[in-house]
Formats: sequence, structure tokens, C-alpha cells
Amino acid sequence: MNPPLSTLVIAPESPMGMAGWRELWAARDLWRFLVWRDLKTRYSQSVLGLGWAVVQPLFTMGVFTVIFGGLVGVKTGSAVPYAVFSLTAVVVWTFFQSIVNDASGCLTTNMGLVTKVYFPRMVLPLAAVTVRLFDLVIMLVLLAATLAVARLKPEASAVAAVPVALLITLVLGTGAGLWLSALAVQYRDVRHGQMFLLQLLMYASPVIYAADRVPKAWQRLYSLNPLVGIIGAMRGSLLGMGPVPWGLLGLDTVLAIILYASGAWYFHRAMRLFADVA
Amino acid sequence: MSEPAIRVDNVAKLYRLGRREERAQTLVGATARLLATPWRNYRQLRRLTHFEDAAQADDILWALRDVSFDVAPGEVVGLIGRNGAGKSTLLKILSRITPPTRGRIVVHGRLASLLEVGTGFHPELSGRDNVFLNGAILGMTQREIQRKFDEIVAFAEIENFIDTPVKRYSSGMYVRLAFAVAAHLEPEILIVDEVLAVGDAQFQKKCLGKMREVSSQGGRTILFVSHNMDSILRLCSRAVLLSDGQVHTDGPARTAVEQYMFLARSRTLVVSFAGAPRLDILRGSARLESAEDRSGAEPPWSLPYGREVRLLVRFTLTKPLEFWRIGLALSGSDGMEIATWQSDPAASAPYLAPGRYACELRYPGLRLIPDVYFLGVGIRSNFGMEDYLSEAVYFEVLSSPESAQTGVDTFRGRIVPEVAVDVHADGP
Repeated sequence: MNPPLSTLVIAPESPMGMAGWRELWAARDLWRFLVWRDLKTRYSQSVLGLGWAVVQPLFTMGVFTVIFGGLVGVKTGSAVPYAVFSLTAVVVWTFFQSIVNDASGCLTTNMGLVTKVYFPRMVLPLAAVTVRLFDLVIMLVLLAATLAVARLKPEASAVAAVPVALLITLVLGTGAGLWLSALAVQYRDVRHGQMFLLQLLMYASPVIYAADRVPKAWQRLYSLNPLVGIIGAMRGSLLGMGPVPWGLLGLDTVLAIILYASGAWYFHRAMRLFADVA
Repeated sequence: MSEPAIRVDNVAKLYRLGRREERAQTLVGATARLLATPWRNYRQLRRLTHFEDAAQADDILWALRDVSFDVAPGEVVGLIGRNGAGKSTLLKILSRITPPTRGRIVVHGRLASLLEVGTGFHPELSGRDNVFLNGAILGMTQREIQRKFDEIVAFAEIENFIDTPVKRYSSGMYVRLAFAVAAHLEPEILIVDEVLAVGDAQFQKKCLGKMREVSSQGGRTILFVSHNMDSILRLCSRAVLLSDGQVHTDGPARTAVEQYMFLARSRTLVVSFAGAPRLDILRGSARLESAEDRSGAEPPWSLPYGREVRLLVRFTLTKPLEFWRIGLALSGSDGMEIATWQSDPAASAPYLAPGRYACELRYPGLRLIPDVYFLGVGIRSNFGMEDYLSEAVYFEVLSSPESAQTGVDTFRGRIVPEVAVDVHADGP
């Protein structure tokens, strides 16, 4: 006696790309293969292999140190050398920026899949983000090595603060990526505006300079930027530059969750249109 | 009887045609317009995907309308129709890639869709890697793929190349591997779209065989879309013919195919090939532009019995061609190829410079029995097939007083040949 067959109803109001967490879990093999595909193709044929993951942050740090640390003369406001000071934030920023870019473009990059096969669409941005987690691990190793070279010892709070900060970054970036990917597929100009806005956001975050340089009157508004809390926590716990701003991190967590939840909601709604409009 | 495997119930699909000139080209332009008339822009973009006022609008396209049919478990049903009839749209809806505007579909059993071979194949990865990737994309679990891996590779006949990057494969190897993965899917219901159009004849036969095996042994239900009437007739007992988004015929495959041919008759004197879909494997140095009916038939392409089939094929060469041949394949209403011919490169100019050409072709002395026929046209060079259209023109041979009186109308063959006959008294 055959087991009863599954029944599927396709109607105008059917969800068009994800019927629930169970379906997503069932597609974990696909998730894994997409991650592995991206990792393998990105690094298999290059000389440095995964070493490329450190090149971008190292290079950025180098440029910032020479230009902002040296030429412009930005002060870190403490004994910490500018190079380490900027690298700590550059690691966070690179991670954030790469998640947002990869997640927002995942639908356009994989348009061939989206228009031909059914699978829970959410797998695409999640796989894109997972790939960047590997990069993050490598960047953290680089950061640890840099701290060792500069003979800086992280505070005890780093054990909690660093994972929390990075987790908030992950959720925040994924949320932004979900919004952008759904919008980008419908409106062609989103990709361009995004690059420009990310640039602005970097300058609005304490990557190149320390957060306390911002005038007192603007501090409150400035701190609404989640990256302020995140980078503050990283620098505070790893470099001993001030206490970890737990209150701010709490607010940032709430903001990140809101962004992610709304992004996921909008992503689901927009999925119905993909094959038609894109 | 048990539930139908697929029940399509009054499905309709509407698209709103985007107005090109009203879409912003640059970011600056878009922002300016957005600031100037944000409400108008939003409404316009929204109109592309919302259809409350669908009935009144004049920029809408009903890709499907009132489509209903059932597929019983284990049945192999063909879905046929001209390009633009709505077949691909219906498949997309069944594959959950796009939602229906109206109606619903109920499916009993796991459904797998094959809308393309090699979905997700990445050129930098090896054949082995791509088998796993493609299999996962099609819905197989890693364990399932591992279990069938050797079978898949054997079916594709590329054991020696399984670990080389796919970008080094010939197009034939690529297709064989892609199809091998797809052929090993184990859903209760399989939807296959035109994927057999590629690959050499040998492999096509193997694929058809595998599909049939899939259907009769496993009791699998198959919905098969194809332009190849031959394979439709061979595989399907029943076929649904879509025309202009509606079900035109739903019945025995033979009936539906005949109706398809009848509807497909070319009607204009010059049939343009501009929008015709082409296979990927064509080299493209030559491009078939159009075919013009030179038989003098009125209306065009409706030849009275005995009229010589005569056409002018126009083509353009983007690169010079050496040892080129032009070929014609004449097929009947059952999709069977009746007469195949290609030119002799030595006979006409073996070398052609880039430019536009017109080639007159005719079948002197060929008398076709009244029915519908179609011609496939191809141009090949010593490098391979440059351009090819399997169903370039459809034409009809009509009965005439001669064919009626001599009984030709009732003949079961396809052609009436010249037979030399000599009767004489034999012996005392």
C-alpha cells in the first residue's frame, strides 16, 4: 500500500517561494551546495585562494592609515595605533558591506535559477550571507594577529561583546540585503543608489574616526546608526577604548531585528512578481 | 478512480505590458521624475503587477484564459501549441515560478519540473560538482544524488571527463550530463519542456526511452511539452493543444497534432524567421531571414494538388562560409520526416562572402497527397550547423479535381511518384 501522496494547491494567493521553516530546512542541501559553489568558484582558480579574504580589509586599512592616520592626521584619542584602530572597524564594515551587496544581488545573479526552478527563494540570500561568514572568520584571524603584533590584550568583555556585535551586524546586513534584493528586482535603479548610500553610511559610521569626535549636540542622532554601537563595542572590548555600550547594543539589536523581519516579509511579498517583472 | 494527478481548473494568467518609453533610463532621470510626480510613478510601477481594473485596461495580455484539464495518474499527456500559445506560461505556473491570476491547480504527488537542462550548471566546476549542484537544484537530497551518481555518469557516457571543468565539455557532453541528472529524478509527476530539442539523434532516442521507462514502469505521470510532433505522437496517448491562451483541443494525440498543423499553416506570402526561437548549439554565422512562397498559390502556402512546391529562402551571412550546404526536411502531418535533402557544396559556389542571399528551392515532379506539411530549413558549413529551423513553414496541399477524380485524395501515402509501367503480353 503506497503512502498517501502529498497534495499541492496552486492558486493566485499561494505563497510563491516559501511555505515555512520546514521547507527551508528541507532545502538545506541546496543551501549547502550554493555556499560551496560560491566558495569553490571564487577561490579555486586564484593563486591566493581563500587568502583573498584578507586582502580587501588589509588594503583598506593600509590606505586609511596612510591617508587619514598620516596625511589628514586623524587622532584615535588613545594609545592605540591608527592601523589597529581602523582595522577593527574595517573588519566590521567589510563584513557588513559584503553581506548587503551579495544578498541584494543574489536574485539578479541567480536569475537563471529563479525563472526555471522552484525552491524556497530565501535560500539565495541566506546562502550569499553564509559564504561571507567564512570571510569573516579569516578576517578575525587577521585581526587577532594584528592585535598580537601591536601587543594589545582584549578586555574580558570581548568574549561576549564581539560575538554580540558581529551577530547584530549579520542580522542587520541580511535585513538590508533582503529589502534591497526584493526592490532591485522590481526597480532597476536600486543597485546604483545602493552603492552610493553605502559609501555615505561608511562615512556616517566611526570607521575612519572615533565616535567621540562627533559634536555633543549630534551624538544622540549619530548613535541611531547601529554601526556606531557595533564598532564601539568592538573597539571597547578589543582595544580597551572605553566601556562597551551595552545599552546602545540593546537598541541596535531591536533595530536589526525589525529590519530583518520587515525585510523577510517584503521579500516574501515581492517573490510573487519575480518571474514576471524581472 | 483515484484523484487526478493534476487538475487544472479555470486557470487564467494576465500580464500587463510595460510601457517602455515611460520607464526611467537613468538614476538621475528616475529620481527627478520621482520627485516631480511621485504618485504617478508609483501607480505606474504598481500597475505592472496589480490588476484590479484589468477588464478596462488596454495594455493587458491574457497569456492564459479558462484553461482546464485533468491528467490522470500514470498518463503521459502532451502539451502543444505555437510559440506564444501559452504553454510556457502554464508550465511556469505549474512549476510555481509565477502565480496564476485566476483559477487553481491541484496536484497530487511530488512534482518536478524540467524547464531547462543544466539549470545552475557552473562552467568552472567539474562535472561531478555540477551533478550534485544541479541535482540539489532540481530537488534531490545529497544522499539521493550520491546513491544514483554512478548511474547518472554511466547514462551520460562521460566517465572519463567527470572531473574536468564543465567549460571544457563539448555541447553534446554538456547536454548529456545535464539530461542524465534530470532523467534520474523520482517524482510522481514530471513536467518536461522541450528539453529534448538538443542533443544528437542517438541520445534523443535514449532520452525518450528513459522517459518512457519512467512512465510505464513507475506509473509516473508526465506532462510533456514539445514542438516535435514525432515525439509527442510516440510518447503521448493524449494531448492538449493550446492556442492563444485557451484550450483548443483536448483529446487523442493524433487529433491534437492534426489540429496543431492546421492552425500552424503559414498565411503570409513571406514568412519571417525574425522572432523564431533558435537552438543554442547553432553557430550563427548564417541567419535564415525568411521564406517566400513562389509556387503562385493563392492564398500563399495553400497549394492545389500537383502544384510545384517552390520557395525563396533569404539568408544573411555575418561571416564568410566555406563548403556550405543548405538543407530541406519535408515532414508530414504526423511529424514524420518524409524527404530529406541537402545541397552539394561542389555544385554551387563553395565560398560565400558575408552579405545577403536569396536561394530558390523547388521540388520538381514531387506530388504530395493533399494534407498539411512542414519544411525545416538549415544551413551548415564545414564547422557545423550555422542556422536551423525545424518548422520554418507550414503549407497545405489542397485537393483538386484531378486528385479527387484519380482517387489520390484517398491514398494513404504521402507522395505520388512517377512510376514507369510497361505491360506486354507474356508468353504464348
